[in-house]
Amino acid sequence: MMLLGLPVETWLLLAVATVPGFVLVVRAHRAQRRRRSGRSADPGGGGEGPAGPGLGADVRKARDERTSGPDRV
Amino acid sequence: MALVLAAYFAVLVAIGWWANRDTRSVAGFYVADKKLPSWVIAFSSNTTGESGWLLLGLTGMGYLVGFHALWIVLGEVLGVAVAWAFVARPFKEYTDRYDSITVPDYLSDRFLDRNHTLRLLSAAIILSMVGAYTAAQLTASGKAFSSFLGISYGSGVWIGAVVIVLYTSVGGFKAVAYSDLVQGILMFFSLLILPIVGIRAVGGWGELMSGIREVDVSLLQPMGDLGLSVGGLISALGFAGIGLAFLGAPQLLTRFMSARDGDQIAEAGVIAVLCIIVFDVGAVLTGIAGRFLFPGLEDPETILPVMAAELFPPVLAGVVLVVVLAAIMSTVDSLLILASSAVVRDVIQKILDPDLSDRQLSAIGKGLTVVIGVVGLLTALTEARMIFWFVLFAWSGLASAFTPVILCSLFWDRTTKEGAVWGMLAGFLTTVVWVLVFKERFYELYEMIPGFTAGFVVTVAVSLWTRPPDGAAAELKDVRATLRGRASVPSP
Repeated sequence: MMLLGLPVETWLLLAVATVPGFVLVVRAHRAQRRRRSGRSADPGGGGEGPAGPGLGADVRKARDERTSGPDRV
Repeated sequence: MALVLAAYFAVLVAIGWWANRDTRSVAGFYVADKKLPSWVIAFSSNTTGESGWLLLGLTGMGYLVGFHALWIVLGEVLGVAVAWAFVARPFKEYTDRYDSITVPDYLSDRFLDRNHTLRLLSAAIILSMVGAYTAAQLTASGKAFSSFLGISYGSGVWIGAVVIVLYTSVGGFKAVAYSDLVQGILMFFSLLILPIVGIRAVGGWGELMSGIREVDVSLLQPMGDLGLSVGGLISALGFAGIGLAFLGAPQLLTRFMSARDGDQIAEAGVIAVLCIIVFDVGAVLTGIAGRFLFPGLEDPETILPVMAAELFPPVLAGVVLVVVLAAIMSTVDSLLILASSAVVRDVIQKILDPDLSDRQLSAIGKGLTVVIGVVGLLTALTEARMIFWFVLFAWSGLASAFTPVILCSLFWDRTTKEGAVWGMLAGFLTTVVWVLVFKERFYELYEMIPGFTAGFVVTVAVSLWTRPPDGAAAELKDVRATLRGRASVPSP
C-alpha cells in the first residue's frame, strides 16, 4: 500500500524512528519541571545540587570518605 | 567562496579568544567549569557525535540504499533520546558528587580505583581511538577543500588542522562547546534546506518518488534490496546500532557533565532530539534526491559537493563547504580536548604529579592539545585513505569500551571494578577483532553490535563473580532519591 508515493511501511519506519524519541524527552522535560516546582514549594526538601539538610547525610558522608584520598584535587 | 570561509574561520578564532579567560583552571579548560546552558550542550553533543560522516557519509548512504538508511535515523534518535532522558542526569549527579571532570575520573571514584587501572586503561583506549578518529576527520577536511575549492589535499588538511588547533588550545572546552553551537546551527539550517532544494530541483515530492521507483524500487523500501532476509535484518541492526554510542561514548558524556544543572539537561534533551531528527532525516533525503538528480556517481559520498556545485550559486556553495567543515571541526575539537584531558587530568595530575598547580596543568593541557592535533595532521598527510569506515570503527571502539560499563555503573549497584576493567577490554578488543576477522563472514555486521554485547556481558559476568565497592548500593540509592527530588532514607 502506498501513501504519497512511498510504501506505508516506510512511513511507519520514519514514525518509529522519530516520534518515540521525541515523546521520551518531552516527558523527561515535563517531569523535571514538576520536580522543580516541588522543590520551590519545599526549599529544604532536597533535589539536585548542593545537599539540603537531612538529604541522605550519612550516605554523603560515607561517599566523601570513600572518595577523599591523597589524589583528590 | 573564500570570503565566506574566511569569515567562518574568523568567528571560530574569535570564540577561542573570548573563551580564553575561563581556561586558567583544569576544570575551566576541560569542562567550562560545568556552567554551560541547554542550547550549548545540546548542539555540542550532536555535532560532536555526528562529524563529517553526517554530511558526506549519511548523504552517501541515502544515495546508495535509499530509505533503508532510515534505520540509522531510528538508532540515532532513540540513542540520543534515551541518553538525555535516562543517562544524563544520573551521570551529572554522580560526577558532581565526585568533582569529576573526565570520564576516567568518574570511573575511578565510582569503583574506588586506588591503583589507577581504570584511569590508565581508559586513557590508552581514548588516545588510540582519538588518534585514528582525528586523522580520519582531517582527511575528510582535505578532501572537502579539494573537491569544493580545487586546492591540493595536503593544503586542505593543513588549513583545517591549524584553525581547529588554534581555537581549541586557546579557548579550551568552552570554545569547543560554543563553536559547536555555531557549527550545529549551520548544519541544522543546511540540512533543513538542502533536501527541500533537492526535491524542488526534481520537480516536487511526487516526481521524486516516481523517479526513484523507476531508478530502483527497492530504494523506497525500509529493508532495501535485501528485503526481509538475514542479510537485510543484519544490515538494519547494524545501522540502528550506530546510535548505541550516544548512551556512553566519553566525548558525549563530557557534555552531560558540563551542564549547569538538571533543568538545563532536561531542556537540552528536547533540543538535541529535534536537532538530530533534522540532521539525519535531512541527510538521508538529500542523498535520495541526489540519486535521482545525479545518478551513476562513482563515489556516493561526493553527492553533497556535487549537489552544492550544480544547484547553488558560488557563494551558497561556499556556505555548504563551511557546513561540511563545521561538521568535521566540531568533532575534531572535542576529540582533541578529550585526549588532552585523558593525559593531563588522568595521567599527569592524578598519577604522575598531583602537586602541579591548576595554572601549570592548564598550560600543559593547551600544549598537549597542539601536540595531539599535530599527530593527527601528520597521520592525515601521510595516509589519505583513512575515510569514513575508519570514523565508524573509532566511534564503535570508544563506545563499545565505555558504554556498557557506564550504563552498568549508573544503574546496577553490583557493578565492580574488575567487571568494569574486563568489560572495557572485552568491548574494545571485540570491536578490533570483529573488523579484522569476522566482519566479512557475518554479512558485514557493524562492529558496534558485537563490541557492545561483549562489553556488556563481560561487565555483568565478572561483576557477579567479584565484590562491589563498599557503599556503592547506598550511594546509588541516594543518587536516585536526589534525582526524584526528595531526601533518601538513611541507610541502617
